[in-house]
Amino acid sequence: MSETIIILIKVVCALVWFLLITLYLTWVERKESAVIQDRIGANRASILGIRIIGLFQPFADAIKMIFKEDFTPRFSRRFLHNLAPFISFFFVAITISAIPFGDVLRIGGQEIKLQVMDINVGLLFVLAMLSLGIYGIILSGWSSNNRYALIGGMRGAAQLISYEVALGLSLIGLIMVYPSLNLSTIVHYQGELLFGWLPKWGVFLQPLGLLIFFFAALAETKRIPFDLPEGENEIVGFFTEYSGLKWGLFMMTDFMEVLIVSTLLTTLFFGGWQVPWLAADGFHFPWGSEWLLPHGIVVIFQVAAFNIKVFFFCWLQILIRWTYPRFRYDQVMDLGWKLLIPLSLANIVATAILLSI
Amino acid sequence: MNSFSALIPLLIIVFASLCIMILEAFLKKENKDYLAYISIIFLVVCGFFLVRAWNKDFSYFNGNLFLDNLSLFFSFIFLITTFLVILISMKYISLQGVNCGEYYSLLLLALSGMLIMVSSGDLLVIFLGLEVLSISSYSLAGLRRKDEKSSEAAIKYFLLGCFASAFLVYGIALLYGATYSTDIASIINHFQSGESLGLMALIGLGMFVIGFGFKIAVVPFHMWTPDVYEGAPTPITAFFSVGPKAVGFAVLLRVLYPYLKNVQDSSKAIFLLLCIISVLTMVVGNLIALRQTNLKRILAYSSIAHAGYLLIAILAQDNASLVFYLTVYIFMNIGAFAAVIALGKKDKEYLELEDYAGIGFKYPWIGATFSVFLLSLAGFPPTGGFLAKFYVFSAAVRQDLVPLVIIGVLASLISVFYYLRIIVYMYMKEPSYEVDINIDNPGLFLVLFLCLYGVLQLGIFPGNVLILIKQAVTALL
Amino acid sequence: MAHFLFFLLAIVCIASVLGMIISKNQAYNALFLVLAFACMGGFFALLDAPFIAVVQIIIYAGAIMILFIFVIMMINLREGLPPERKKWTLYFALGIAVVLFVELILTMKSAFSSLKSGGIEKIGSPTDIGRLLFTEYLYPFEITSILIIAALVGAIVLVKKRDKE
Repeated sequence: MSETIIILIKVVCALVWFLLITLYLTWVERKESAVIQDRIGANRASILGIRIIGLFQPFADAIKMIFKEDFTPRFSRRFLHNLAPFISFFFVAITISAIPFGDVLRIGGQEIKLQVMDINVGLLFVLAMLSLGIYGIILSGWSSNNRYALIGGMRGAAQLISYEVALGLSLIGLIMVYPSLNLSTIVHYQGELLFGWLPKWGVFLQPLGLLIFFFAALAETKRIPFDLPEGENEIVGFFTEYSGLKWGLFMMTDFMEVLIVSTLLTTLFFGGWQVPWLAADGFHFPWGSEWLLPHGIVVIFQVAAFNIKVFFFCWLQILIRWTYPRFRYDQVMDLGWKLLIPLSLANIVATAILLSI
Repeated sequence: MNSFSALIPLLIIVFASLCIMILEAFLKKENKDYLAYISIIFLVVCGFFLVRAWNKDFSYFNGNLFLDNLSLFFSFIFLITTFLVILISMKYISLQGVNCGEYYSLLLLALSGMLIMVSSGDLLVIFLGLEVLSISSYSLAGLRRKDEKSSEAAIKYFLLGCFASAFLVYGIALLYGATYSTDIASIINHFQSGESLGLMALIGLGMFVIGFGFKIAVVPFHMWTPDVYEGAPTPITAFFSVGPKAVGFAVLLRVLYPYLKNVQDSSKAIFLLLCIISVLTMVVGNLIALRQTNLKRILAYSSIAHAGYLLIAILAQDNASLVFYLTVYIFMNIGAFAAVIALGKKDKEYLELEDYAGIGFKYPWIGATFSVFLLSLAGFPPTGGFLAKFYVFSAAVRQDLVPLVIIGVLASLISVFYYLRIIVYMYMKEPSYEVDINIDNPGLFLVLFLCLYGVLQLGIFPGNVLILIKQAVTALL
Repeated sequence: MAHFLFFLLAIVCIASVLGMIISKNQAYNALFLVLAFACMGGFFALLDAPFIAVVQIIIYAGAIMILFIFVIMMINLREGLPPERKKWTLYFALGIAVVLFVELILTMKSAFSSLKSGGIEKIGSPTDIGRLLFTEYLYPFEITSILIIAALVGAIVLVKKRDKE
């Protein structure tokens, strides 16, 4: 019984964390763009006159979104039209369940993994769910019965399929280095040390893989510079015919993808919850000194490290989104098929050669 | 003997295909003929290794791949087939606008599929080899992209081929379910040891036969043949009419010969199935061929009919005659197609019966060789076709399959009519219009000569080849 | 729990396959097929083969069917015309369906009798599959690469732009 409760608590915690961060990403995005464009940005939302640099803005946005009229066009294919945003949302949201937030937490003789589901093939699970997410886009574009939406949906599907190949291939080198598909095992492997002092993170072992993964993942989030499915100033995109909460879901999905990409980058290439030289009983520095810590503090360190890394990559992605122009469609396809895929294949070969030496 | 040498012929062919694909990108359009020469060089090298492996029984991959004499003999036959097809293609592809290096590349891939199929005793590997062969064939059939018929051929071949593959895989799955193995030898062992044959295993074997029935084009699984043969580029048609058919029979031989020989099947279901298919194939194939006027379609139906005779050889459990028939069949059929290809010029092929009026006197070489090939297909002495049929029918008589033989002989009598009609057109009709062809085609005339030599040699002095074949089929015992 | 999930998946799977056959709109057909594939993935997961389950979803539901739907939605937005049907084909198909059904039942009967209870092997782990692929099934595995090359070359030859004439 207690196990069920623990699982429930884990699910709730993960979801709340996920949604809350996503919500605040919208605020970060507005603030960051404002700084880049020399503005102040959202700062008016207030509760009882308390404004705290606009921290309540996301809630105001959410309330607005919920109470807007939910309009379904008469000419749309109604069922699929309504289904599409939920598909998009669901398949991104479920991926968080495979991500390890920290190592084992011990309370009262019980060991709790700080991960909702420890799946044997977690890495593939995440990829599978992301690939199913394409259906949300393609269905919303098609069921809207609107040319612009259809073009957006088609562009989106084509782009996502193309980059999924590179995304998957870029990770093969990583799987070769950390011989596992289990995300928590991969993180554990990254706790080891290279030459006795360098943490064995993916970024040091698979630099090329990281670059390819990062570009492909950026394309998967469908944001500038890869925002052709939306194409704000030409076709508006696959959610042209959506309004109210369903449009909001698509919006949320975008930010959730940013967050998922950040967590994946962290987990796969930057050690996940690992803090350099922090073992289960405290720090063991390479120069010999030790700093032993109680179990609770270690876990807090781990979770904090995970969060800091994730926030950093969220910030980086938003920075990229506001500082780069959009690619042309043929450039997007060329980058994917002619550069990233051959590079990722080369990465696999190079990794294999280095491993066999 | 476990040795890497078993893999070398296959590796050479796959390597050749990849080489040609890469070279194709760098060669100028005028120099594309070099690709043909390069593939021929690779074929010769591969042939050298095959000959060296004779009697050595190399195997590799835990026996998944083995080069016993039978697979060596068949591999060699396929090499010759591909060699001849490349020679007749060289001029054709530039005349008919299918000039691309991928042509040779796909042809070699198809060849590698056939090599895989004949050199393995594992149904899984055989299936994969078949798919390599089939998938290359589908695109080869559609290579004449200017012509709608070619695309139709590709689509038809693809759809029916997939259908056949589905049957085949289903059959293999059922066999595996019944006997816990995909290895032919252990499947047969299981059949032998079991007191009664499971229904599942029988249905599996039946589906296996049906799946291959599509590939070797026997009635009632022949519907795709005429359209595909007509639409595909003619050299490819020549390839289809011999390559997949020969390899299909090679595999059926490996599976059915030990089955028919060793397994006490009280219901005789498979035997009856094969008998019915054989009779239908001979009768229907020959009867429909009577009404065709397009040369490619006539040859298509003739190749269907020949599959019927070949099935008799399988039923009679006479392996040597089957292999001999296939050897002869390759020479006479490719020769006949070469003669058809000879009658063509830039962007135009002469394929109707009317076009052949008076050809015999205008182009005596083509007319004479074509006549020999047709007579051989019909089974006249002293050509190889006569001896082949003679061996098959006499073997069948020895096995008390007299009704089958009677039907076979009657069917070949029917076939004489449409083969002779072509000869009659060539020598006894006045041409009503001018047919001028491009005769600057050395490769093709070389093929005509080689096939003529093959047909006559096998018809008059078959001794040496028969000895080789006898050595080859001992692998089955 | 496992039984409940199995029957849930089975019902959804069969329903979606039926929907695929009955529905006249090609896009819906394809979507039903996606659902069926996803359910198949679920079956594999229930059978303790997570790797196969996930690969099933990635490859069939995620990649192949997306391409199908892509093409269907791109080229034909009309409601599908019902194909011209002849009466005898229907009866013929019915006959074959009955035969296959009987065969399936017979197969299942013999399969159940030889099935031993307990001792379920774990076959789905990526390590095991990898090891099998590179030892026992190395030759078929390598042939697959030739197969894929043939398919790639064939497809590209048929669709690439023609040379200037």
